[in-house]
Amino acid sequence: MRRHGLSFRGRVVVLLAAAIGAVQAFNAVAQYWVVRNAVLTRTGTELARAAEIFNGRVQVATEQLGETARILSLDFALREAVATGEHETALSALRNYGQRLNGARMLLVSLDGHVMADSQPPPSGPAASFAYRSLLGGPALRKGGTALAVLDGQPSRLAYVPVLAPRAVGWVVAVLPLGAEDAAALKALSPVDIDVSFVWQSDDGWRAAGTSLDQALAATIPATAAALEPAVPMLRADADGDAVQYLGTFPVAAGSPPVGLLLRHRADTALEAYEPLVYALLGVILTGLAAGLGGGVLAARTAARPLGQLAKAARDVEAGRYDLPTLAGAEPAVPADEVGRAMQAFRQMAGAVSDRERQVRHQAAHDGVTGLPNRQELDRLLAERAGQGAAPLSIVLLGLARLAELNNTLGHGLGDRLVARVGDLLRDAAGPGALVARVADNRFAVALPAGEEQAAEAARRLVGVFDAPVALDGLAIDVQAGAGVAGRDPALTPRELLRRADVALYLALQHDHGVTTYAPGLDPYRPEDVSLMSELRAGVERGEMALRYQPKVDLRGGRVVGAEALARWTHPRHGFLPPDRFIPLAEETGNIRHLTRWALSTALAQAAAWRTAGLDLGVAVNVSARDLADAGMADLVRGLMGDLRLPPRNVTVEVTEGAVMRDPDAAVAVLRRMADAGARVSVDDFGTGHSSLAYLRKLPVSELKVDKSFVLKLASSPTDQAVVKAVVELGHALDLSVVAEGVEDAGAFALLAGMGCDLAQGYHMGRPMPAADLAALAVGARWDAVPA
Amino acid sequence: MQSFSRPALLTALALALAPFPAFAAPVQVAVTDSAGNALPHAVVALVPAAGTSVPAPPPRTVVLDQRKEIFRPHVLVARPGDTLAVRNGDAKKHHSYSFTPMAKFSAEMGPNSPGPEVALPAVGEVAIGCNLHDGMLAYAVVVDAPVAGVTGPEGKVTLEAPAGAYTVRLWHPRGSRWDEPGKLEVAASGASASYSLVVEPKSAEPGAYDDPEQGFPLP
Repeated sequence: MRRHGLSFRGRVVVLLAAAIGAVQAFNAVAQYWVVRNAVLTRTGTELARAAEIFNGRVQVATEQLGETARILSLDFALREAVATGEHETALSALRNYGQRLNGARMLLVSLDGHVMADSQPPPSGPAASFAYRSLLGGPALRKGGTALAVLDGQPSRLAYVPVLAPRAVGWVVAVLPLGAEDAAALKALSPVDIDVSFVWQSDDGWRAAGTSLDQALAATIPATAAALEPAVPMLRADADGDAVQYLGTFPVAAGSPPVGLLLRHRADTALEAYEPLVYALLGVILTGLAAGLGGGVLAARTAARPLGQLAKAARDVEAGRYDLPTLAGAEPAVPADEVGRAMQAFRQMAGAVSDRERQVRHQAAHDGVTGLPNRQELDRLLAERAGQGAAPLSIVLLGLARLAELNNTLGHGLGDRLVARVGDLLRDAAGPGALVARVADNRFAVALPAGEEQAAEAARRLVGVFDAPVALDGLAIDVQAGAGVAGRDPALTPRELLRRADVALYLALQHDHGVTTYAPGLDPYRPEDVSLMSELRAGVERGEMALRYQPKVDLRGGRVVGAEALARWTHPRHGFLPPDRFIPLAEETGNIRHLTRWALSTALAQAAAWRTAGLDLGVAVNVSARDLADAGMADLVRGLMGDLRLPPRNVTVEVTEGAVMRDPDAAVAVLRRMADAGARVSVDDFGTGHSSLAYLRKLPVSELKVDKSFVLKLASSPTDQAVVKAVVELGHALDLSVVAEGVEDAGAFALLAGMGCDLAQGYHMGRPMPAADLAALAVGARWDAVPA
Repeated sequence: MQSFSRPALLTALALALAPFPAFAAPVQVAVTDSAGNALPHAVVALVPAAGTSVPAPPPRTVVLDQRKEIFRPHVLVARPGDTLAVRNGDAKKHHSYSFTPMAKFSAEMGPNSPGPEVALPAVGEVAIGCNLHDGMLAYAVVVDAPVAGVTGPEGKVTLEAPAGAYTVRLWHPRGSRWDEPGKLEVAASGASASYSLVVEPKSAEPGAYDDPEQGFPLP
């Protein structure tokens, strides 16, 4: 679920938070727009007011200009110059005054409107008559006046005053264009950042005059003015972003093009003061979101907790806990709503599952016939006890002999009932505190909280139960039982304990001992062997194996003619291991194949080396029963002999009588192939196995090796002498050479020589030894048959 | 005619009687504006028609006083050859001037001091102002007529003229040009006439006074 996205609780939280957040955001945005519009409207109003103020300001300035001009016009020299027609003098005086009047342009205009002098004539030359002559005359004759008008393409302040000498003889007109400085002065006048531009409307549209705007924005003035309606503030985007713009108009002299005042206030500046409001709104949104999240978490917890409890309960069931502690607490709190009913249903389901599971588990853990715990259940129970630190148990393993025969005789129905009866008897006899289990068809384990002695006693009592026949359906059935006892040992696992009991039981049944107690000496299997076997192959490869050679001596000449190669293992941890520690294991596990191949390769190579050194010594290698099933073994012998150029007489494979008899047909085939390859075949331990002369006849055998049990006490045992003599004669009758093993004294040596035995092998001549020692022996040693 | 000094008047009378045995008769002239309001400060001149002989009066000196920052009289009449005597009757300084070419002058006068005597050689209107007081303005109207006078506060003037036929000429500062409303027959017993004159409204003229009393000699 989690992989695919949010949990239910997460979705509730997110949805609720999103809803509240959206409402808050909408709210905030709406508020922001309302405020923004209000701000902009207010800004517009402020601009209109500013326009009025600026207008008045310009008028005041114009009047001041007029006042100053009037005072200047009363200058006596000017009056005289004008009155006496000295226009050059008048002009120079006007220029001077113009400089005093902020660089105003000064005109001297005659009473009838002709321009008589101009301090700053336009490039086109001085005009013949004053453009706004209608201003002059009338009441103005007395004090003059002021006006705003566009003169020569510039919106200008005009101040006109009569020159009294002492009667009016002409007009002085001061002209001051509305320039950038004026715009800047007005801008500076305003407490807020308002940009001021003077504009006027020519025949082909609005034109900019002085402005406080920068050059880039100044270029947009005509378009802005054209877009605006006079006295209506407007929010308009220009090159610098949103701005509130306002076009005010000035009263102008009759006949003048309209002159306007363009005000501009950046919207963001207007809104700047409301930045705290924006932050407050953001705060409101965030608070709303937080509240939404909190509420969502709360709501989700309320709604999702039962679901979470259900989920946990489901996990409990999954894990096998059916008491559902999570639901137990939750149920009363949950009303009979859907979730409540679901919980109820879930509990019922859990109960049903629990019952069924108990059944299944019981069936899985118990024997169907006796109702006793089975092997796995016993393991589990014992492990459980051990885990709880309870006192260790001893184990009595009771085995029924002849159960298969009984089953066959009685039929399985009755057989099963017999077994059930045996279970009942055992349970009754074992008493309380004992744990009885059926661990195999014919095996019952009884675990007892007792020591080895008491356990053995109990075992005898249990076996004694079956001294009397078991009555079943009117039949008295004789049941034979044995028991193995494994005493408690805290160091052992229950499993190992059971194994030991099994070993003991095996012996008990085999030897009709009734009750056998486990002892290490009885145990053919030791756990460390397992690891040994896993290490054998690596040991072969690592060169931990070595061959020792035990001399075979010709009984007639007394010289060493060959040797039997015997494997020795120097284990890195266990040290020297004798062959009987690992050869049987290797045979059982199949690892013998690797060992045999290695032994063949090594021994044959050694024989070849001896040959190279001038020693004609045969070498014998033991081949196990397992190897006889390996068809490749013969090919190996063939290949080695060919590669090493070994003659047939130098290579012998020794195979035990028992090995041949296990699967005679297969053994015969493989041995034949080995013989074909050129190897001599020797039957080892001859006399101990149940060898069939029929097979012996079929085998490609070249040699018989009399078992050492007949040879060791040869000198003192007439029976052994007879056996050996018979074997020698048999061998010779079959045209086989005969070897005696276990020759440990000169007496045996002499007797064998006397019997006509061909070769002798044993401690009398030498123990298994390194190849070099054997070579030395072959060169320098000689044994004579000295009659005892 | 109180502005004329008695010796001067007697001298003029004696001179007039010498070539002309006839006695002059009083001629009463009233001048109004077009609305019928009395028009003070109007110059009334009688130019003898053909057949009427009026002996030329001898040259004289006319006085322009300055009192209470006002030229008194506001308008005075003179004949070519007369002399204008400017004086300061105020307790403050004045700087009288005129840029009229024939009588151009500029003179500063201390308190209660005589000023320059300016020759009035030709016919014309001499505008006189004060450089210190822009509101001060006076006109010396030089006219070549043996009989002339200026209307008083009620817009009337009484002239002395021998019987005969005359051309009446009128001038007013707010009109600024001579008007000839017609001929006047003066009988041996005198004559009286009323004329109206088109003038600019009062306030239009710089230096004019709203109070009709102003611009006349103080008692």
